[in-house]
Amino acid sequence: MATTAIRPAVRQRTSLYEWLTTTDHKKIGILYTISSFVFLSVGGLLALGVRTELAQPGLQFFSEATYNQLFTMHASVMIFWVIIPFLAGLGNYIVPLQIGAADMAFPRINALSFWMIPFSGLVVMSGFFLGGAADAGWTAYPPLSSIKYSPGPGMNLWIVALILIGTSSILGAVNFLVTIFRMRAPGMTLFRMPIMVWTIIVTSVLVLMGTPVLTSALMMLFIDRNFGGSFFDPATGGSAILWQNIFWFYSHPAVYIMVLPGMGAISEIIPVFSRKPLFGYKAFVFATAGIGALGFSVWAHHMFTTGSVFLPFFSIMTFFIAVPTGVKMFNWIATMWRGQITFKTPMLFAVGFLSMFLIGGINGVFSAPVPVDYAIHATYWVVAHIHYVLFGGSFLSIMAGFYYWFPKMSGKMLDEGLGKLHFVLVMIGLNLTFLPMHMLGLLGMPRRIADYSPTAGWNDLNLAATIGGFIVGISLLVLFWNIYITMRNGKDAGNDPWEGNTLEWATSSPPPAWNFDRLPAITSERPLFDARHGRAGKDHA
Amino acid sequence: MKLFAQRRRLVALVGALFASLFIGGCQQVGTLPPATDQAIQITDLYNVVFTIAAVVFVLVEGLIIWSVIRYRRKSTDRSLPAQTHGNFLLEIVWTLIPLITVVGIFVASIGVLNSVDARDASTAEVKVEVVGYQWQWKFAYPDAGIEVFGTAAQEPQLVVPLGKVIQVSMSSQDVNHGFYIPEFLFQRDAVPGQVNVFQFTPNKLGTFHGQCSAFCGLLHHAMRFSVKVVSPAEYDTWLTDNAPKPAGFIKLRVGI
Repeated sequence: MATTAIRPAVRQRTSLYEWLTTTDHKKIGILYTISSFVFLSVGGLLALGVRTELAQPGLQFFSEATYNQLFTMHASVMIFWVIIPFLAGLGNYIVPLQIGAADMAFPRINALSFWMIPFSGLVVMSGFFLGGAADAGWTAYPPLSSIKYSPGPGMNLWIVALILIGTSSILGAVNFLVTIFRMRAPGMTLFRMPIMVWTIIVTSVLVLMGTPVLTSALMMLFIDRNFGGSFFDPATGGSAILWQNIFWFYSHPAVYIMVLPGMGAISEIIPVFSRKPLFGYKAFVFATAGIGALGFSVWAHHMFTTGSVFLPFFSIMTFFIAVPTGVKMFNWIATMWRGQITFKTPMLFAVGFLSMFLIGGINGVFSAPVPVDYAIHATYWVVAHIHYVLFGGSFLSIMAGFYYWFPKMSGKMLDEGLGKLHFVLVMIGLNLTFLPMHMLGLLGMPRRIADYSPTAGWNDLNLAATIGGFIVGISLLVLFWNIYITMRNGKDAGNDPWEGNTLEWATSSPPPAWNFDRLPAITSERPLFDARHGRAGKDHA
Repeated sequence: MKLFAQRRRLVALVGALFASLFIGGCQQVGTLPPATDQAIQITDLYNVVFTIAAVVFVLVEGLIIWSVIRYRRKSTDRSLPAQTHGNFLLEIVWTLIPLITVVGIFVASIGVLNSVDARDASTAEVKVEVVGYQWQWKFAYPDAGIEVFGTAAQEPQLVVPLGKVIQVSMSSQDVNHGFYIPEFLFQRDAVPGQVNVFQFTPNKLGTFHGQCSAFCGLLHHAMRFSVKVVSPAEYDTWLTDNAPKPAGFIKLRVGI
């Protein structure tokens, strides 16, 4: 493959000033990743706080007031400062490379999008030092989140920080869309784009349609709290349910914002490590768009028990959205079918994603039939569900993507042994944490309680979940150690360590500031595969 | 070859772990024993959904595990595998099968929903009012003039007769609360500014634990209560014992 001139690996020392002022999408992508790891550690410690308190009945470590802050901030940090930015960061690094562009369309806006994240993160965390962080749950339902019932500064800080991070997402989404629609290399038609790029398009559209709605809800809540508004106050003609409708209109699609790019990463990894093209490329694109469209019509399934929902509509839509997700699952399996699979760490995490996200999909369908939802809503069943989706799904896909693209980002190969150890620990830990939560839900344990009765029969399952949580914590230390020793003296990755399919592997690792010296011909969705093997397969149907 | 043996051991280890987790998980895969007529229907529906879910889980997880084991790259694999880009018919089939399955569950669930959510006021035999407040409940029997207030020290008890249609009208004084009784397989939110009405028919004698399911602030976990189902005769006795005295003073008793 003679598409790229091999340049000597010159290790340029980049100064701190350069990192702080960079507009290079690759450096910004790395900044996103670092920031996400920092907040992941924070959110993980908050989760361990929750699990430690729940290990046994009784309040041993925290007061109720602290406990409520712990779980509220755990969810907020993990959703808004870890998963969404992590995926945005991977997209930032990878998308311009995959479409053969030199950078994002608006490099300075890109830098602004990033810097709003650590800043807003500090704002939301500062509550802990200013008299109490937000403690009304990440869903912040009024009237509980009103000034009367949440008088502390934490709630205001939370609202401001969420508006900031939402703005960062909106700017990022515009940037992605313009980049993808205007800056593709010659030959890169829409249906030759890597699936990762497709999922970023759909995600960006979801962000553009959903996030402004959340922002308006947050502003209304801010006005209610600080200027005597009454949007959500039933005592003065407002509606408490209105918040739930607006909030979930964003926050349900947000689940797809948090999982679609991960599915994109998985759809890059499985074909490469199976040595086959993605099965049903176009079906996959349509399924992604279908999930995006249906995603806006299922929000009220979070509100079945409020007594204010047109139940059959939201029930059937919730059932429908399971279908395109199922289609994707079959596409991935069919991609592996009769392939030649090698189990490097990225592929292990990809298979882990398949098997865990399957559970998160199936246990979600239980909430679609409304009467079953009456039984499991707001219990630990739902906690199990959301964690199989966001941890077993989003997070494992992020890890798959991280292991897959780390050689491109750093020029070094992460240690395979430590990678496999990380994988085994995380799989054991996450199942030990979240599998028992299904049973806790069926046994009637509501979510968000700081304490429970020792005679309720929930003790053993809670202890198991806590042990699992600490195993997950240890697995993360293995990853950090792996990154540390690899950065010190890891093996050189070369341009294309995995025999990749897509354009990012056509340039050096890490790529030069301008990304490509020259590009291979793009005549299918796998330009590098074509360059390596000739047109062994036909273009996708 | 040594590497392969190691890998096989790893696969076996992970497999054994999952098997034990799965078997451990099977201790509680069903709902709690249902204690109302409505809960029996919900349990039946849950069992249908669970059965379908279990079949789908085993099939798909089985396909994943099979592909992962069967299609590992062997040292003899030099040439590329067949580059299959898709199969239109297959993709139509695996879109339609899930679609038909979920529509089937939906249809089954709507029948149960209509029955569970039925609230024809004319059928109500006992009417109670439930009010949630931070952080306890008030249960009131307007027809009998009885009110029961829960306190932090004493959780309130709702006493209802076996086999009668109980109608609950529920509201909240401050923030959202959730009226949840695990063995009724049922919860409904108490939302300020609106009255939620639902009915249930207890079919089992006994005391059933309940607690707030919608996060409501500091002492959310302490909003516990219970429902005591007694025979209609005992219920009548309870009513007379607790009815307000003509002198106008109201004697409050929690439970029997």
